[in-house]
Amino acid sequence: MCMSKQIPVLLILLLGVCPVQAADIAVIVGRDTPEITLTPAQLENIFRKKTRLTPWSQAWVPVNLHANHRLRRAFSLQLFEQPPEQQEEFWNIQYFNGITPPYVVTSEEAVLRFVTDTPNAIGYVLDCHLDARVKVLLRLTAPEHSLPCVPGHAEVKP
Amino acid sequence: MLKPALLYTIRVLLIVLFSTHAAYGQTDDHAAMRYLWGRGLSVPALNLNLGGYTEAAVKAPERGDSELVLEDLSLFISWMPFSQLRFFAEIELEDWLSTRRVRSLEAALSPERYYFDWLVTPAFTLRLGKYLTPVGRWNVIHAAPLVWTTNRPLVTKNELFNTHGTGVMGHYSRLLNDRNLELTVYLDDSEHLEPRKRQPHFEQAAGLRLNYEWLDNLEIGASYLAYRNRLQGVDNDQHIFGVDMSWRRRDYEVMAEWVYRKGDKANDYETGGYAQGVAPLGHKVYAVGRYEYLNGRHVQDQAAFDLDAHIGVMGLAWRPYTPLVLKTEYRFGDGNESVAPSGFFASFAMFF
Repeated sequence: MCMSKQIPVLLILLLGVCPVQAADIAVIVGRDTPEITLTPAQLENIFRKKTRLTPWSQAWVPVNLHANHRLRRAFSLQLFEQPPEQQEEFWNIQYFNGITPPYVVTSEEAVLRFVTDTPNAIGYVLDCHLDARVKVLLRLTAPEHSLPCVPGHAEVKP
Repeated sequence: MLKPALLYTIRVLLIVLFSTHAAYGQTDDHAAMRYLWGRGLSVPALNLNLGGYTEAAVKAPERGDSELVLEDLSLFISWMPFSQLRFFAEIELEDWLSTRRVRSLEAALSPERYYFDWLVTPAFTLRLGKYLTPVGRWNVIHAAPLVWTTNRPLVTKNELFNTHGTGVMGHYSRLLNDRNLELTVYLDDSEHLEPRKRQPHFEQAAGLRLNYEWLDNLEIGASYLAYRNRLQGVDNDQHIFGVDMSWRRRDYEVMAEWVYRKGDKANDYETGGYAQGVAPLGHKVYAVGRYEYLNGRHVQDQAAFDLDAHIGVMGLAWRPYTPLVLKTEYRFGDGNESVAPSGFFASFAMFF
Protein backbone atom coordinates (compact mmCIF):
# COMPACT_ATOMS: atom_id res chain seq x y z
CA MET A 1 0.00 0.00 0.00
CA CYS A 2 1.44 3.37 -0.94
CA MET A 3 1.96 6.06 1.72
CA SER A 4 -0.80 8.39 0.43
CA LYS A 5 -3.37 5.62 0.93
CA GLN A 6 -2.10 4.82 4.40
CA ILE A 7 -2.46 8.32 5.82
CA PRO A 8 -6.31 8.51 5.87
CA VAL A 9 -6.49 5.03 7.40
CA LEU A 10 -4.03 6.03 10.11
CA LEU A 11 -5.99 9.24 10.79
CA ILE A 12 -9.24 7.31 11.15
CA LEU A 13 -7.59 4.86 13.54
CA LEU A 14 -6.03 7.73 15.50
CA LEU A 15 -9.33 9.61 15.84
CA GLY A 16 -11.05 6.40 16.85
CA VAL A 17 -8.55 5.76 19.63
CA CYS A 18 -8.00 9.30 20.99
CA PRO A 19 -10.67 10.95 23.14
CA VAL A 20 -12.14 13.60 20.82
CA GLN A 21 -14.83 15.80 22.36
CA ALA A 22 -17.32 18.18 20.80
CA ALA A 23 -16.22 21.67 21.79
CA ASP A 24 -18.10 24.87 22.58
CA ILE A 25 -17.47 28.10 20.70
CA ALA A 26 -15.72 30.67 22.86
CA VAL A 27 -16.30 34.32 21.98
CA ILE A 28 -13.07 36.08 22.82
CA VAL A 29 -11.54 39.50 23.32
CA GLY A 30 -8.04 40.62 24.22
CA ARG A 31 -6.76 40.30 27.77
CA ASP A 32 -6.85 44.07 28.30
CA THR A 33 -10.47 44.50 27.27
CA PRO A 34 -12.67 45.76 30.13
CA GLU A 35 -14.98 43.23 31.77
CA ILE A 36 -18.45 43.12 30.22
CA THR A 37 -21.20 40.59 29.80
CA LEU A 38 -22.74 39.92 26.43
CA THR A 39 -25.94 38.16 25.43
CA PRO A 40 -26.18 36.27 22.12
CA ALA A 41 -28.50 38.99 20.80
CA GLN A 42 -25.94 41.68 21.62
CA LEU A 43 -23.21 39.59 20.01
CA GLU A 44 -25.34 39.21 16.89
CA ASN A 45 -25.62 43.00 16.62
CA ILE A 46 -21.85 43.39 17.00
CA PHE A 47 -21.14 40.88 14.23
CA ARG A 48 -23.79 42.49 12.04
CA LYS A 49 -22.25 45.91 12.82
CA LYS A 50 -25.59 47.18 14.06
CA THR A 51 -23.87 47.91 17.35
CA ARG A 52 -20.69 49.73 16.37
CA LEU A 53 -19.50 51.03 19.74
CA THR A 54 -18.27 49.32 22.87
CA PRO A 55 -19.74 50.48 26.20
CA TRP A 56 -16.49 52.49 26.59
CA SER A 57 -17.17 54.30 23.28
CA GLN A 58 -14.56 52.64 21.10
CA ALA A 59 -15.34 50.90 17.83
CA TRP A 60 -15.86 47.14 18.04
CA VAL A 61 -13.67 45.26 15.54
CA PRO A 62 -15.35 41.90 14.89
CA VAL A 63 -13.32 39.26 13.09
CA ASN A 64 -14.69 36.25 11.24
CA LEU A 65 -13.24 33.05 9.91
CA HIS A 66 -13.73 32.62 6.18
CA ALA A 67 -17.13 31.47 4.98
CA ASN A 68 -16.16 27.84 4.34
CA HIS A 69 -14.49 27.26 7.68
CA ARG A 70 -16.54 24.75 9.67
CA LEU A 71 -16.27 26.84 12.84
CA ARG A 72 -17.53 29.93 10.97
CA ARG A 73 -20.48 27.92 9.70
CA ALA A 74 -21.22 26.57 13.17
CA PHE A 75 -20.93 30.07 14.68
CA SER A 76 -23.19 31.49 11.99
CA LEU A 77 -25.83 28.80 12.41
CA GLN A 78 -25.76 29.12 16.18
CA LEU A 79 -25.92 32.91 16.31
CA PHE A 80 -27.83 33.94 13.19
CA GLU A 81 -29.61 30.66 12.42
CA GLN A 82 -28.29 31.07 8.88
CA PRO A 83 -25.22 29.83 7.04
CA PRO A 84 -22.81 32.59 5.92
CA GLU A 85 -23.98 32.58 2.30
CA GLN A 86 -27.53 33.49 3.33
CA GLN A 87 -26.23 36.63 5.04
CA GLU A 88 -24.87 38.08 1.81
CA GLU A 89 -28.12 39.89 1.10
CA PHE A 90 -27.92 41.56 4.51
CA TRP A 91 -24.35 42.68 3.74
CA ASN A 92 -25.42 43.98 0.35
CA ILE A 93 -27.89 46.25 2.13
CA GLN A 94 -25.24 47.33 4.62
CA TYR A 95 -22.80 48.02 1.78
CA PHE A 96 -25.37 50.38 0.27
CA ASN A 97 -24.99 52.33 3.52
CA GLY A 98 -21.21 52.18 3.44
CA ILE A 99 -20.82 49.39 5.99
CA THR A 100 -18.68 46.40 5.07
CA PRO A 101 -18.62 42.93 6.71
CA PRO A 102 -16.15 42.06 9.49
CA TYR A 103 -12.53 41.27 8.74
CA VAL A 104 -11.92 37.71 7.64
CA VAL A 105 -8.96 35.54 8.61
CA THR A 106 -8.16 31.97 7.68
CA SER A 107 -7.51 30.09 10.93
CA GLU A 108 -8.31 30.09 14.63
CA GLU A 109 -4.69 30.97 15.37
CA ALA A 110 -5.11 34.03 13.14
CA VAL A 111 -8.24 34.95 15.15
CA LEU A 112 -6.25 34.64 18.38
CA ARG A 113 -3.49 36.86 16.97
CA PHE A 114 -5.94 39.41 15.58
CA VAL A 115 -7.83 39.68 18.86
CA THR A 116 -4.58 39.95 20.81
CA ASP A 117 -3.09 42.64 18.56
CA THR A 118 -6.18 44.75 17.78
CA PRO A 119 -7.80 46.90 20.47
CA ASN A 120 -11.54 46.15 20.88
CA ALA A 121 -11.39 43.19 18.51
CA ILE A 122 -13.84 40.36 19.12
CA GLY A 123 -13.67 36.91 17.58
CA TYR A 124 -14.33 33.26 18.29
CA VAL A 125 -12.41 29.99 18.55
CA LEU A 126 -13.15 26.53 19.85
CA ASP A 127 -12.81 26.64 23.61
CA CYS A 128 -10.13 23.94 23.53
CA HIS A 129 -7.98 26.32 21.46
CA LEU A 130 -8.08 29.10 24.03
CA ASP A 131 -4.85 30.35 25.51
CA ALA A 132 -3.63 33.02 27.92
CA ARG A 133 -3.62 35.78 25.28
CA VAL A 134 -7.40 36.17 25.32
CA LYS A 135 -10.40 36.03 27.62
CA VAL A 136 -13.87 34.66 27.06
CA LEU A 137 -16.96 36.87 26.99
CA LEU A 138 -19.50 34.25 26.03
CA ARG A 139 -19.76 30.58 25.14
CA LEU A 140 -22.03 29.26 22.40
CA THR A 141 -22.89 25.61 22.20
CA ALA A 142 -21.66 24.15 18.98
CA PRO A 143 -23.93 21.77 17.08
CA GLU A 144 -23.34 18.32 18.51
CA HIS A 145 -20.51 16.26 16.98
CA SER A 146 -19.86 18.86 14.30
CA LEU A 147 -16.78 20.40 15.84
CA PRO A 148 -14.51 17.81 17.38
CA CYS A 149 -11.88 19.40 19.54
CA VAL A 150 -8.40 18.31 18.58
CA PRO A 151 -6.01 20.02 21.01
CA GLY A 152 -3.17 21.89 19.37
CA HIS A 153 -5.03 22.18 16.07
CA ALA A 154 -5.87 25.87 16.16
CA GLU A 155 -4.02 26.34 12.88
CA VAL A 156 -5.67 23.42 11.09
CA LYS A 157 -7.49 24.64 8.01
CA PRO A 158 -10.56 22.85 6.70
CA MET B 1 9.95 45.22 -29.64
CA LEU B 2 6.26 45.42 -29.08
CA LYS B 3 5.79 41.74 -28.35
CA PRO B 4 7.97 41.52 -25.16
CA ALA B 5 6.40 44.72 -23.85
CA LEU B 6 2.92 43.32 -24.48
CA LEU B 7 3.78 40.03 -22.80
CA TYR B 8 5.23 41.90 -19.82
CA THR B 9 2.07 44.00 -19.55
CA ILE B 10 -0.12 40.90 -19.68
CA ARG B 11 2.00 39.25 -16.98
CA VAL B 12 1.73 42.31 -14.75
CA LEU B 13 -2.04 42.46 -15.29
CA LEU B 14 -2.41 38.76 -14.49
CA ILE B 15 -0.36 39.15 -11.31
CA VAL B 16 -2.51 42.12 -10.24
CA LEU B 17 -5.70 40.24 -11.12
CA PHE B 18 -4.74 37.11 -9.22
CA SER B 19 -3.47 39.02 -6.20
CA THR B 20 -6.84 40.82 -6.14
CA HIS B 21 -8.65 37.50 -6.36
CA ALA B 22 -6.49 36.07 -3.60
CA ALA B 23 -7.59 38.93 -1.39
CA TYR B 24 -11.19 37.79 -1.68
CA GLY B 25 -11.83 37.48 2.02
CA GLN B 26 -8.94 35.11 2.52
CA THR B 27 -6.12 37.32 3.66
CA ASP B 28 -4.76 37.45 7.19
CA ASP B 29 -3.02 40.72 6.43
CA HIS B 30 -5.97 42.80 7.58
CA ALA B 31 -4.05 46.08 7.28
CA ALA B 32 -3.51 45.62 3.53
CA MET B 33 -5.52 47.56 0.97
CA ARG B 34 -7.76 45.21 -0.94
CA TYR B 35 -10.56 45.15 -3.46
CA LEU B 36 -13.47 42.78 -3.14
CA TRP B 37 -16.09 42.56 -5.87
CA GLY B 38 -19.31 43.91 -4.46
CA ARG B 39 -17.64 45.24 -1.30
CA GLY B 40 -15.43 47.93 -2.80
CA LEU B 41 -11.87 49.03 -2.31
CA SER B 42 -10.95 48.97 1.35
CA VAL B 43 -8.08 51.01 2.77
CA PRO B 44 -7.91 49.85 6.41
CA ALA B 45 -5.08 52.23 7.29
CA LEU B 46 -7.42 55.16 6.57
CA ASN B 47 -10.67 53.45 7.60
CA LEU B 48 -11.82 54.24 4.07
CA ASN B 49 -13.94 52.27 1.65
CA LEU B 50 -14.72 53.21 -1.95
CA GLY B 51 -17.34 51.38 -3.96
CA GLY B 52 -20.62 51.79 -5.73
CA TYR B 53 -23.11 50.22 -8.06
CA THR B 54 -24.35 50.49 -11.58
CA GLU B 55 -27.54 49.70 -13.44
CA ALA B 56 -28.31 49.56 -17.14
CA ALA B 57 -31.93 49.14 -18.20
CA VAL B 58 -33.99 48.48 -21.29
CA LYS B 59 -37.43 50.09 -21.15
CA ALA B 60 -39.96 49.12 -23.76
CA PRO B 61 -43.37 50.54 -22.90
CA GLU B 62 -46.24 49.34 -25.06
CA ARG B 63 -46.98 52.94 -26.02
CA GLY B 64 -43.98 55.14 -26.71
CA ASP B 65 -40.35 54.72 -27.60
CA SER B 66 -38.04 52.09 -26.21
CA GLU B 67 -34.78 53.17 -24.68
CA LEU B 68 -31.56 51.79 -23.32
CA VAL B 69 -30.36 53.75 -20.31
CA LEU B 70 -27.38 53.60 -17.99
CA GLU B 71 -29.85 54.21 -15.22
CA ASP B 72 -27.42 54.55 -12.33
CA LEU B 73 -23.72 54.81 -11.78
CA SER B 74 -23.29 55.56 -8.10
CA LEU B 75 -20.07 55.91 -6.19
CA PHE B 76 -19.84 55.32 -2.43
CA ILE B 77 -17.31 56.94 -0.11
CA SER B 78 -17.30 55.66 3.44
CA TRP B 79 -14.76 57.01 5.90
CA MET B 80 -14.45 56.55 9.65
CA PRO B 81 -11.81 59.00 10.87
CA PHE B 82 -12.60 58.37 14.53
CA SER B 83 -14.33 55.63 16.51
CA GLN B 84 -17.41 57.77 16.96
CA LEU B 85 -17.49 59.66 13.67
CA ARG B 86 -18.32 58.31 10.24
CA PHE B 87 -18.77 60.01 6.88
CA PHE B 88 -20.70 58.54 3.99
CA ALA B 89 -21.45 59.92 0.53
CA GLU B 90 -23.17 58.56 -2.55
CA ILE B 91 -22.49 60.44 -5.75
CA GLU B 92 -24.78 59.47 -8.59
CA LEU B 93 -23.89 59.85 -12.26
CA GLU B 94 -27.29 59.69 -13.92
CA ASP B 95 -28.35 59.13 -17.51
CA TRP B 96 -24.81 58.66 -18.81
CA LEU B 97 -24.36 56.66 -22.03
CA SER B 98 -28.10 56.88 -22.53
CA THR B 99 -29.74 56.68 -25.92
CA ARG B 100 -31.45 59.89 -24.85
CA ARG B 101 -29.45 63.05 -24.31
CA VAL B 102 -27.94 63.93 -20.95
CA ARG B 103 -30.23 66.69 -19.72
CA SER B 104 -27.57 68.77 -17.99
CA LEU B 105 -24.39 68.28 -16.05
CA GLU B 106 -26.27 69.12 -12.86
CA ALA B 107 -28.83 66.42 -13.62
CA ALA B 108 -26.13 63.95 -14.62
CA LEU B 109 -23.92 64.37 -11.54
CA SER B 110 -25.88 64.30 -8.36
CA PRO B 111 -24.78 63.98 -4.71
CA GLU B 112 -27.53 61.61 -3.60
CA ARG B 113 -26.46 61.30 0.01
CA TYR B 114 -23.77 62.86 2.16
CA TYR B 115 -23.80 62.79 5.91
CA PHE B 116 -21.79 62.52 9.07
CA ASP B 117 -22.84 59.96 11.66
CA TRP B 118 -21.85 60.76 15.21
CA LEU B 119 -22.07 57.54 17.24
CA VAL B 120 -23.01 59.20 20.51
CA THR B 121 -23.54 55.96 22.45
CA PRO B 122 -23.76 52.30 21.39
CA ALA B 123 -27.52 52.82 21.07
CA PHE B 124 -27.82 56.36 19.70
CA THR B 125 -26.48 57.86 16.48
CA LEU B 126 -26.90 61.42 15.31
CA ARG B 127 -26.81 62.04 11.56
CA LEU B 128 -26.23 65.39 9.88
CA GLY B 129 -26.51 65.87 6.14
CA LYS B 130 -28.53 64.54 3.24
CA TYR B 131 -30.16 61.16 3.75
CA LEU B 132 -32.84 58.89 2.35
CA THR B 133 -36.25 59.65 3.80
CA PRO B 134 -37.10 56.71 6.07
CA VAL B 135 -40.69 56.14 4.97
CA GLY B 136 -41.35 52.45 4.36
CA ARG B 137 -38.70 49.95 3.29
CA TRP B 138 -38.13 50.34 -0.42
CA ASN B 139 -36.84 53.90 -0.35
CA VAL B 140 -33.98 53.17 2.02
CA ILE B 141 -32.83 50.10 0.05
CA HIS B 142 -33.74 51.33 -3.42
CA ALA B 143 -30.36 50.50 -5.04
CA ALA B 144 -30.89 48.41 -8.16
CA PRO B 145 -28.77 45.43 -7.00
CA LEU B 146 -30.86 45.19 -3.82
CA VAL B 147 -34.35 45.23 -5.27
CA TRP B 148 -36.10 42.61 -7.35
CA THR B 149 -37.62 44.69 -10.11
CA THR B 150 -36.41 47.32 -12.57
CA ASN B 151 -39.31 49.61 -11.69
CA ARG B 152 -39.96 50.74 -8.16
CA PRO B 153 -43.50 50.70 -6.74
CA LEU B 154 -45.48 53.86 -7.28
CA VAL B 155 -46.02 54.54 -3.58
CA THR B 156 -42.26 54.71 -3.00
CA LYS B 157 -41.58 57.30 -5.68
CA ASN B 158 -40.73 60.94 -5.33
CA GLU B 159 -44.25 62.01 -6.34
CA LEU B 160 -45.75 60.83 -3.06
CA PHE B 161 -43.04 62.00 -0.71
CA ASN B 162 -39.56 63.35 -1.32
CA THR B 163 -37.16 60.46 -1.29
CA HIS B 164 -34.32 62.54 0.18
CA GLY B 165 -34.14 64.97 3.06
CA THR B 166 -31.43 67.28 4.34
CA GLY B 167 -31.15 68.02 8.00
CA VAL B 168 -30.65 66.14 11.23
CA MET B 169 -31.65 62.58 12.11
CA GLY B 170 -31.46 60.70 15.40
CA HIS B 171 -31.44 56.91 15.41
CA TYR B 172 -31.97 54.94 18.61
CA SER B 173 -31.92 51.17 18.85
CA ARG B 174 -32.32 48.76 21.71
CA LEU B 175 -33.08 45.14 22.31
CA LEU B 176 -36.60 44.39 23.41
CA ASN B 177 -37.17 40.72 24.21
CA ASP B 178 -33.87 40.03 22.44
CA ARG B 179 -35.14 41.60 19.22
CA ASN B 180 -34.11 44.93 17.72
CA LEU B 181 -36.39 47.90 18.17
CA GLU B 182 -35.32 50.94 16.19
CA LEU B 183 -36.65 54.48 16.41
CA THR B 184 -35.67 57.17 13.90
CA VAL B 185 -36.62 60.83 14.27
CA TYR B 186 -35.64 63.45 11.71
CA LEU B 187 -35.99 67.12 10.92
CA ASP B 188 -35.50 68.45 7.42
CA ASP B 189 -34.83 71.96 6.20
CA SER B 190 -34.07 71.33 2.54
CA GLU B 191 -35.24 74.82 1.65
CA HIS B 192 -32.20 76.30 3.38
CA LEU B 193 -29.75 73.39 3.60
CA GLU B 194 -29.97 71.66 0.22
CA PRO B 195 -27.95 73.51 -2.41
CA ARG B 196 -29.15 71.43 -5.36
CA LYS B 197 -32.88 71.26 -5.08
CA ARG B 198 -34.95 69.05 -7.33
CA GLN B 199 -38.65 69.42 -7.91
CA PRO B 200 -40.57 68.66 -5.87
CA HIS B 201 -38.51 68.95 -2.72
CA PHE B 202 -39.23 69.35 0.93
CA GLU B 203 -39.20 72.89 2.18
CA GLN B 204 -39.35 71.62 5.74
CA ALA B 205 -40.25 68.22 7.08
CA ALA B 206 -40.34 66.25 10.30
CA GLY B 207 -40.86 62.54 10.66
CA LEU B 208 -40.37 59.45 12.68
CA ARG B 209 -40.12 55.76 12.01
CA LEU B 210 -40.39 52.72 14.22
CA ASN B 211 -39.13 49.30 13.17
CA TYR B 212 -39.31 46.07 15.19
CA GLU B 213 -38.09 42.54 14.54
CA TRP B 214 -41.34 40.85 15.46
CA LEU B 215 -40.18 37.31 14.74
CA ASP B 216 -36.92 35.78 13.56
CA ASN B 217 -37.66 36.58 9.93
CA LEU B 218 -40.38 39.18 10.23
CA GLU B 219 -39.93 42.92 10.61
CA ILE B 220 -42.72 45.42 10.83
CA GLY B 221 -42.46 49.18 10.59
CA ALA B 222 -44.53 52.32 10.90
CA SER B 223 -43.72 55.76 9.55
CA TYR B 224 -45.11 59.25 9.97
CA LEU B 225 -43.99 62.29 8.04
CA ALA B 226 -45.26 65.87 8.03
CA TYR B 227 -43.87 68.11 5.32
CA ARG B 228 -44.34 71.26 3.35
CA ASN B 229 -43.51 71.52 -0.32
CA ARG B 230 -44.28 73.97 -3.09
CA LEU B 231 -46.31 72.92 -6.10
CA GLN B 232 -47.30 75.33 -8.88
CA GLY B 233 -46.09 78.19 -6.70
CA VAL B 234 -48.33 77.22 -3.79
CA ASP B 235 -47.17 75.86 -0.43
CA ASN B 236 -48.72 72.53 0.50
CA ASP B 237 -48.73 70.99 3.93
CA GLN B 238 -48.85 67.22 3.80
CA HIS B 239 -49.00 64.30 6.20
CA ILE B 240 -47.89 60.76 5.37
CA PHE B 241 -48.80 57.69 7.40
CA GLY B 242 -47.33 54.34 6.47
CA VAL B 243 -46.99 50.77 7.66
CA ASP B 244 -44.77 48.12 6.16
CA MET B 245 -43.48 44.61 6.67
CA SER B 246 -40.78 42.31 5.43
CA TRP B 247 -40.59 38.55 5.82
CA ARG B 248 -37.67 36.43 4.66
CA ARG B 249 -37.04 32.75 5.03
CA ARG B 250 -34.30 31.03 3.08
CA ASP B 251 -34.80 32.33 -0.44
CA TYR B 252 -38.46 33.26 -0.05
CA GLU B 253 -39.43 36.84 0.62
CA VAL B 254 -42.55 38.94 1.08
CA MET B 255 -42.45 42.71 1.34
CA ALA B 256 -45.39 45.09 1.61
CA GLU B 257 -46.02 48.77 2.26
CA TRP B 258 -49.17 50.81 2.65
CA VAL B 259 -49.14 54.62 2.61
CA TYR B 260 -51.78 57.29 3.18
CA ARG B 261 -51.08 60.90 2.23
CA LYS B 262 -53.34 63.73 3.36
CA GLY B 263 -52.91 67.31 2.18
CA ASP B 264 -54.29 70.43 3.80
CA LYS B 265 -56.71 71.10 0.94
CA ALA B 266 -60.10 69.48 0.42
CA ASN B 267 -59.98 66.12 -1.40
CA ASP B 268 -56.20 66.20 -1.41
CA TYR B 269 -55.41 62.68 -0.32
CA GLU B 270 -53.83 59.54 -1.73
CA THR B 271 -53.75 56.02 -0.48
CA GLY B 272 -52.04 52.97 -1.85
CA GLY B 273 -49.54 50.27 -1.38
CA TYR B 274 -47.92 47.21 -2.77
CA ALA B 275 -47.30 43.58 -1.87
CA GLN B 276 -44.43 41.71 -3.46
CA GLY B 277 -43.47 38.08 -3.25
CA VAL B 278 -40.28 36.33 -4.32
CA ALA B 279 -39.77 32.58 -4.70
CA PRO B 280 -36.70 30.65 -5.83
CA LEU B 281 -36.94 28.58 -9.01
CA GLY B 282 -33.49 27.02 -8.80
CA HIS B 283 -30.10 27.88 -10.28
CA LYS B 284 -30.31 31.27 -8.53
CA VAL B 285 -33.33 32.29 -10.61
CA TYR B 286 -36.24 33.84 -8.76
CA ALA B 287 -39.84 34.50 -9.67
CA VAL B 288 -41.13 37.90 -8.63
CA GLY B 289 -44.74 39.04 -8.46
CA ARG B 290 -46.10 42.37 -7.27
CA TYR B 291 -49.46 44.03 -6.99
CA GLU B 292 -49.73 47.79 -6.54
CA TYR B 293 -52.64 50.07 -5.95
CA LEU B 294 -52.88 53.84 -5.78
CA ASN B 295 -55.98 55.95 -5.46
CA GLY B 296 -56.54 59.66 -4.91
CA ARG B 297 -55.23 63.04 -5.96
CA HIS B 298 -51.86 62.31 -7.54
CA VAL B 299 -49.19 64.84 -8.48
CA GLN B 300 -46.78 64.20 -11.30
CA ASP B 301 -44.60 66.69 -13.19
CA GLN B 302 -46.12 69.51 -11.12
CA ALA B 303 -49.63 68.62 -12.32
CA ALA B 304 -52.33 67.14 -10.08
CA PHE B 305 -54.99 64.69 -11.29
CA ASP B 306 -57.32 62.03 -9.92
CA LEU B 307 -55.91 58.54 -10.11
CA ASP B 308 -57.21 55.04 -9.53
CA ALA B 309 -54.52 52.62 -10.68
CA HIS B 310 -54.09 48.88 -10.29
CA ILE B 311 -50.69 47.62 -11.38
CA GLY B 312 -49.29 44.13 -11.72
CA VAL B 313 -45.66 43.17 -12.22
CA MET B 314 -44.50 39.67 -13.13
CA GLY B 315 -40.83 39.04 -13.51
CA LEU B 316 -37.75 36.93 -13.18
CA ALA B 317 -34.47 37.79 -11.52
CA TRP B 318 -31.22 35.90 -11.85
CA ARG B 319 -28.55 36.39 -9.18
CA PRO B 320 -25.59 34.32 -10.38
CA TYR B 321 -23.25 36.05 -7.93
CA THR B 322 -23.90 38.02 -4.75
CA PRO B 323 -23.21 41.50 -6.20
CA LEU B 324 -24.91 40.91 -9.56
CA VAL B 325 -28.54 40.66 -10.67
CA LEU B 326 -30.25 40.49 -14.05
CA LYS B 327 -33.95 41.29 -14.06
CA THR B 328 -36.76 41.14 -16.53
CA GLU B 329 -40.39 42.00 -15.96
CA TYR B 330 -43.67 42.74 -17.59
CA ARG B 331 -45.82 45.49 -16.11
CA PHE B 332 -49.52 45.75 -16.78
CA GLY B 333 -52.56 47.22 -15.14
CA ASP B 334 -55.69 49.26 -15.15
CA GLY B 335 -55.63 53.06 -15.01
CA ASN B 336 -51.84 52.93 -14.92
CA GLU B 337 -50.76 54.39 -18.26
CA SER B 338 -50.08 57.92 -17.07
CA VAL B 339 -48.05 56.89 -14.02
CA ALA B 340 -46.64 53.40 -14.66
CA PRO B 341 -47.03 52.46 -18.34
CA SER B 342 -47.53 48.83 -19.29
CA GLY B 343 -44.61 47.24 -21.04
CA PHE B 344 -41.48 45.18 -20.88
CA PHE B 345 -38.50 46.15 -18.75
CA ALA B 346 -35.15 44.52 -18.17
CA SER B 347 -32.00 45.54 -16.37
CA PHE B 348 -28.55 44.56 -15.27
CA ALA B 349 -27.37 45.79 -11.87
CA MET B 350 -24.16 45.25 -10.00
CA PHE B 351 -22.32 46.40 -6.91
CA PHE B 352 -18.64 46.97 -7.55
